[in-house]
Amino acid sequence: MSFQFRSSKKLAKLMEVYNIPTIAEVVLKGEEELTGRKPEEVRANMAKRLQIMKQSAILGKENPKKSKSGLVGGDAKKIEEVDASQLFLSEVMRKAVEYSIGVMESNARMGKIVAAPTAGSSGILPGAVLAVQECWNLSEEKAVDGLLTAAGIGIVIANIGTFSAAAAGCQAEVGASSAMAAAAVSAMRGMSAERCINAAALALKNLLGLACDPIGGLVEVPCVKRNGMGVVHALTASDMSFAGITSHIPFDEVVEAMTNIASHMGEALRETAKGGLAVTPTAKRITCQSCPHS
Amino acid sequence: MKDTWSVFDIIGPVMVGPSSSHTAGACKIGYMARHILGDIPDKATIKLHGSFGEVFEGHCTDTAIIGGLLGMIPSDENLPLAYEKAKELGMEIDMESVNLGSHLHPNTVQLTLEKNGISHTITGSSLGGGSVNIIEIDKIEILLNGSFSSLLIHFESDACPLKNILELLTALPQTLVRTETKDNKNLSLFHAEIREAEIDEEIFKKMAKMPGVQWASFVPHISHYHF
Repeated sequence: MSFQFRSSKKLAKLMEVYNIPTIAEVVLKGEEELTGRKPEEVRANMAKRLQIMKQSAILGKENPKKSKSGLVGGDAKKIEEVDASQLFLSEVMRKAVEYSIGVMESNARMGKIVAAPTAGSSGILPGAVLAVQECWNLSEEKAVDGLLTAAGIGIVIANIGTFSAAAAGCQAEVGASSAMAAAAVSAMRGMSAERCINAAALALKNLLGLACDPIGGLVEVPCVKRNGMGVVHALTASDMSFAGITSHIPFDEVVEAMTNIASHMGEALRETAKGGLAVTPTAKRITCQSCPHS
Repeated sequence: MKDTWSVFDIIGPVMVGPSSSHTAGACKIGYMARHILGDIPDKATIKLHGSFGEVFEGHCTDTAIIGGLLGMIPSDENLPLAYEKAKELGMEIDMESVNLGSHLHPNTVQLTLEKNGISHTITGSSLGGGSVNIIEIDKIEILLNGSFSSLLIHFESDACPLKNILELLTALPQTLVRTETKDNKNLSLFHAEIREAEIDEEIFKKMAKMPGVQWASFVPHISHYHF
């Protein structure tokens, strides 16, 4: 008997065969089998990470300092202070954007964050989980369930695909984290495992092909704002799945498609700062000003 | 790519920014290399390949590798100060961007570390999300991913101390995950993966002093529960 899984198909099969009701519980069993750590220990560790996520979101927002390049800082504050009644976004979405950008602003200042799954995409999952927990008044336990569900989706992406933007572009970072966040918030509001996985498929599908083209090679532009957009994307995918909209392409095949696209992607679009936004006239001008050595 | 993942490989690492592959992964490779050498190096030659060579400065890849060589882990909030600390210790650092070959992962670094006349050349790749592989030590192919601790023993194949090493190993309370032995001409590199982050010092010394053993290292894994 093994609770390790390489695909969402296998994940669903494990739930069926062993009559396990949630993705989070399969993930906990797999973790115990792999590392010998009891579910209580794993949950406590995840709760500690949730706190670090929260701290990084708040520190990022409250710190008025710009990053070393001068490109990042102050945007989380703007979306906090805007007149919410004038926005298209719901309150949970507005808050999610604020937290997501806040974490990324911390990250750009060499602050402490939780990579989820990477540092360049570390805003999306905390943004979604913290905003939903807060606005819907959910327990910490529910938020931890969300993070464990996200981990389950992440394990599938790690096995079939990759989290490396140098290997597969931004689709492997913002795409992956958006899929994980979509599943997390779906689980937090009690959607079935099938619908959680479907939400992940919807989210990743729409971010396929996303290039990694950071200006000056910094994890700043467009990374910070892409996290702010990615979290809304994740919540939209969860809402669509909640409404019963299904992805025609199953999640595992969407991840395979991501790998296929990566094989057609030139090196310039894979974290080398040699293509896309990184080579626009404005980016070149900023690069000369802010990081004279690169 | 490894085939088993902890939830904390995915929701983690806890780290200082800005990049999991170019900062946290780079720090981890430096940390593992420092332990393969057995001490903080006096001299480090750092060859950055692919994306590592292209964008290291903005991601603080160089700082992170040096922090790792000093024994810092990715969540260490002193990591941004690594250059200054290395300077205080008088570490000699040579850094260049190179092409090590298209077969390698785009985030790869080759480190040549020296301390008291001992030198090792270690190649490691950062796979994304903070996961890393050490793929070569002194031209011997190997696979250390840092999920578990690693015991490395390099010995003259003829001396064949393996039986005695294994006897000592199995007597330890630690959980042995996997072993491999790689031969290169008349020398062999034995690698045992161990679940715990420590090893009995007396027993380790005994192994290191066995006839035919050229060097031995213990590379502790960075626990998901320590940050």
